Amino acid sequence: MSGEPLLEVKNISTSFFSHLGEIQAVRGVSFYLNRGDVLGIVGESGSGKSVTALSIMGLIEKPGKIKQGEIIFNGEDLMKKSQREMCELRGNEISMIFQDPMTSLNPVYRIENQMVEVIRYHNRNLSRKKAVAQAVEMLRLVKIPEPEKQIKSYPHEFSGGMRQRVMIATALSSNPGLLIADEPTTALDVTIQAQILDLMNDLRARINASIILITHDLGVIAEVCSRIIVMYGGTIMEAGNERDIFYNPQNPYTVGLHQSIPSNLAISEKRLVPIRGTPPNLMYPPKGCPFSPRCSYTMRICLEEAAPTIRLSDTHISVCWLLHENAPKINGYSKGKIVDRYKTPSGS
Amino acid sequence: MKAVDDVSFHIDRGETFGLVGESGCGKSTMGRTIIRLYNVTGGEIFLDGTNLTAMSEKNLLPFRKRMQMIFQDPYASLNPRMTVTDIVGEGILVHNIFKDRERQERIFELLDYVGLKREHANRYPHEFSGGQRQRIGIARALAVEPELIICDEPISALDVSIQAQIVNMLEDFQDEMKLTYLFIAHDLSMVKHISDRIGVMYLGMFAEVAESYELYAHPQHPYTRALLSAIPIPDPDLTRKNKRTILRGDVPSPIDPPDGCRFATRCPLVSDLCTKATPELIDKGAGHFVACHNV
Ligand SMILES: Nc1ncnc2c1ncn2[C@@H]1O[C@H](COP(=O)(O)OP(=O)(O)OP(=O)(O)O)[C@@H](O)[C@H]1O
Ligand SMILES: Nc1ncnc2c1ncn2[C@@H]1O[C@H](COP(=O)(O)OP(=O)(O)OP(=O)(O)O)[C@@H](O)[C@H]1O
Ligand SMILES: [Mg+2]
Ligand SMILES: [Mg+2]
Repeated sequence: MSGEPLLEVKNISTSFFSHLGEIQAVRGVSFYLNRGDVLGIVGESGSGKSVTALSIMGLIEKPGKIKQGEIIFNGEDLMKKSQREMCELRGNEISMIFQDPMTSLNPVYRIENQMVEVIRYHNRNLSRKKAVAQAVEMLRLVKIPEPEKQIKSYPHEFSGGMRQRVMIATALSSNPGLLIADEPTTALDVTIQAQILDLMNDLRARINASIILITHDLGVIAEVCSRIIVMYGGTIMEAGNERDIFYNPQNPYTVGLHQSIPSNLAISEKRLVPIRGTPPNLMYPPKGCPFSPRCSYTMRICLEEAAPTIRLSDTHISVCWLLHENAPKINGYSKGKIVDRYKTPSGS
Repeated sequence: MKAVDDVSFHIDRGETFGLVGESGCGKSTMGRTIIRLYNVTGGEIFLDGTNLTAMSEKNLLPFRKRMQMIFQDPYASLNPRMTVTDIVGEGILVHNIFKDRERQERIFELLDYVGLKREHANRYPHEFSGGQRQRIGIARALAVEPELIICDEPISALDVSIQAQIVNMLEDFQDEMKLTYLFIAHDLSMVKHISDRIGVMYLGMFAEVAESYELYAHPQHPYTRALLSAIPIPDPDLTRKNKRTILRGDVPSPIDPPDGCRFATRCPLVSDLCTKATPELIDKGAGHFVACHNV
């Protein structure tokens, strides 16, 4: 059933209205997710990743508000649904694993009770015994050893990695069409992160889940994602498949991200090329492209007008004035091709 | 509880020694013990040939000036009620290096150095971003012209695009001021990038110590191998080639560590001997030390 969109997000903007002013957390974000795909959303802290996810889930609360846009899931516009209908949908058809695993497990209940509650919430005719059996199976699926015994534990008796597995098991127990995982491994050590990513790859193959994975780590993206969105300052900078984003990035911000991190452990690394400056204040976002104050290629129009979305191929878009037909051709960006990924931007 | 147990190593002048290992393995404890923020319960610490282990606080003062620390959390490590001038200038006051006007001048100089503005001098930490706070922490550490700086995860709390700014700055300062670094991190790719030699810790002990390139090219300890293979590489083609060793289970509690080799409970090569005797850190040649019975 691959290939048709399960989710389409069209031009959503979400803001938080504080007493100091409007924080424009997400500004006109559009993307789609095909069935069976793993979509990665990568971006730095504050770029709007979690707010995008919470908007899809219908979990933006006051003082926040989705100002505009459409969210089409399975052919239905979620923005038109009532609170109650959204509540039904969440956990049934869309599940989310939240950024902080400790906030989503209740410390005073055994794992068993929490999982059974979720399972029976969505399937009220199920006997308790059958629900427990299903919970045990879910724990087995996420490779918790001795699940019959471990299900009696309290959350604090589990390590961070095991708690994250329980979260995944719980999220999957309603057999959702879409799983949104917000930084599911950020709080974990690398060897435990490897276990979880391995598990996600395994699940993807076995239950054909459609997944949105949110992370700030391009390495994590490279492990599991087939499509990637790069976010910055509440907007999408570039979107494409794995080859587009890792081997043919066409947005100066994506290139900057690649150059900021040591990429290949086997070679003795050259000096890193940092992105100068700091991310924008979303209370007063730059008028034009959000990256323009930090970009090495900034032109006057970049500061003044939002950049156009340039379609580079069937899979690849970049939101950047440099790719506009009237823009001067820059070495390394000639007709969109970046000749040397590690070259220092010239105009700096 | 012994957070760090029976560990010996040295750092050469002018080099960067990287310390890696998973959360709770004792990296910060090691750093803090070296600059004697914590007391040593066994063993000795030498700085430039002088034994610091049992030195009184008074005698320690001149040595404190030679060792500084940059802390893990840029949000918690700066006193919120002190201005940038007070924070950066504190060490200068304590060690009585510059007076009044000269002191302020020196502080301005340090702010220039770390890329902050002079008008930031009278502001408070909460007015700065994480990256700027870490710059304040670096200025504070540099203020007394130390020789050794313990960098305890100086970039972990920062955005990717800001991390490279700080790493490059640390590298430049090392060249210019002949600094020696102990660089603590759990991000192995950054440690590889910045370090000359690396020590891999597991549950308070060293598993392996080697030159940076050697460690990545020829890891010997099964834990090092697993740790290296677990690093997510931002290059999908390489990722696919990378044969990953997925470790079973979790890190055991340091309060009651396993007998024998501490890694035995998760080790793919475990044998009978491992649960009985603690392996020693043995030189396998060319300064490559490994603590494992089976390599
Ligand atoms: N409940 C809220 N009230 C006010 N502002 C908020 C709220 N939630 C998020 N924001 C703001 O919205 C912006 C985007 O936040 P978001 O949590 O989506 O970032 P993120 O990309 O998930 O970052 P991180 O990597 O740190 O999780 C930030 O500037 C944040 O401060
Ligand atoms: N002040 C303290 N009192 C009691 N136990 C402590 C204290 N500080 C650290 N520990 C314990 O000592 C062990 C080592 O901690 P340490 O902070 O050195 O780890 P670390 O390697 O720096 O971890 P991280 O990567 O999370 O910073 C841990 O088990 C920790 O719980
Ligand atoms: Mg977030
Ligand atoms: Mg620490």
